[in-house]
Amino acid sequence: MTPARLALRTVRRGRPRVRAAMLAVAGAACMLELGTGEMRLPVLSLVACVSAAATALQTLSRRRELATLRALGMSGPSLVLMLELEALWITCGGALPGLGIGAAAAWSAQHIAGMSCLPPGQGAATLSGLGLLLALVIGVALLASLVPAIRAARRDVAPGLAVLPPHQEA
Amino acid sequence: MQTEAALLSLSGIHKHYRHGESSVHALCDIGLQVDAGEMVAVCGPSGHGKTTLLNVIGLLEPACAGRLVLDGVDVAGLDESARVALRVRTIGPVFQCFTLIPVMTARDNVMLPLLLRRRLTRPERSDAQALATELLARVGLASHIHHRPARLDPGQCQRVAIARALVTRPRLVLADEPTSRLDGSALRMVLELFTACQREQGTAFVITTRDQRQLVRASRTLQLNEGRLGPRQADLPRHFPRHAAAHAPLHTTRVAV
Repeated sequence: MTPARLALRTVRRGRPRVRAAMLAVAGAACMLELGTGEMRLPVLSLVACVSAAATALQTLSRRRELATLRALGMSGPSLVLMLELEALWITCGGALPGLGIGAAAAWSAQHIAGMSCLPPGQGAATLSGLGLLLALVIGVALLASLVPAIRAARRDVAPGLAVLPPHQEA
Repeated sequence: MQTEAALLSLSGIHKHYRHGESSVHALCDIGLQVDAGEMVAVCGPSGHGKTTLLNVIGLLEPACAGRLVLDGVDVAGLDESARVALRVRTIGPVFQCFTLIPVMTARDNVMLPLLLRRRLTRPERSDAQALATELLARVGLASHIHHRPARLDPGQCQRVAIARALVTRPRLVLADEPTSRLDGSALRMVLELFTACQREQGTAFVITTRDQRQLVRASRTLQLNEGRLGPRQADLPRHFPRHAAAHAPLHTTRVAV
């Protein structure tokens, strides 16, 4: 089982936390598309926070699962790769529709309502512009999730295995 | 007496944990030798170090002092990656809470140790699937291979975890209360599988258990009390030939594991 397949399965399983992170990234990407230069830095910071928080929460709630993977032979770098890929799927899953919605809104504003309702200097983004924004969002998200992923890979295995499963915690 | 020929050899193992200024001595001067094909049962009250002992043997936690030789390799001189390689090559673990991966089916969970070792070719993957399916059938879960852990009851999860421990054909299986959730027929199937592995592959087992039905199958029964390991004879029936227990005739079909 490659880290990529495990990551994809985890994200596809659609836990509420994954969906919430995707929605947050989508909103941020939409704002990024519609916003002007000075607005982009706080929006990118928001993307970084969402990505880091999502990865940190995932590693905490899945401590036993990650410890099991380590105990069965998954290496630390592979675990980091798996968590980074999860962050990548979540970011792509949120950023693509978010940027799409933002671009559609900008295009509508430009062609239906006229340029006056958009901030100065802002129009419907070109395809290359959208690609650049997507790359920016993904880069920020991956960088932000790297720290919690490395911390998860460095945790001791034995205490993670001792974490009780949810049905026994009560 | 220690011999390097033993599969597992522990001498003078100590393990303690620090909690602030106090220190808890989990294992005190543990000495143990396990040969290939042997089943050693360790019993004792909760919190007296059984899981810690398995973690130390399984190279999941380092001992504070003492010598541990596993499969002829003294682990003291190994770095982390070499310890992981030795663990993956030699040991099949059954963890106390089963710890299956929730997003994977029962069969994929069983295959997981093989998949984590290296990238499998298509024929190797087919072989791994066949082996996992066969092991699941041996523990009575042939009709559950595509079920995720959430759709399995705790006893079934435990059997999946046991199949997962055996899929790599390990030389040593470390099982933390592996039969705690099993009823009569499931327990019989699991014990038959353990015995088949002992006979056919020379797999050794170190098992923590409080289950009398499993204790009678053990080659040796040891007691762990407050971190100290000693022999235990009291709970076993006097008439039972302990060393022959593992090789008692069983109604089992031959399966190469």
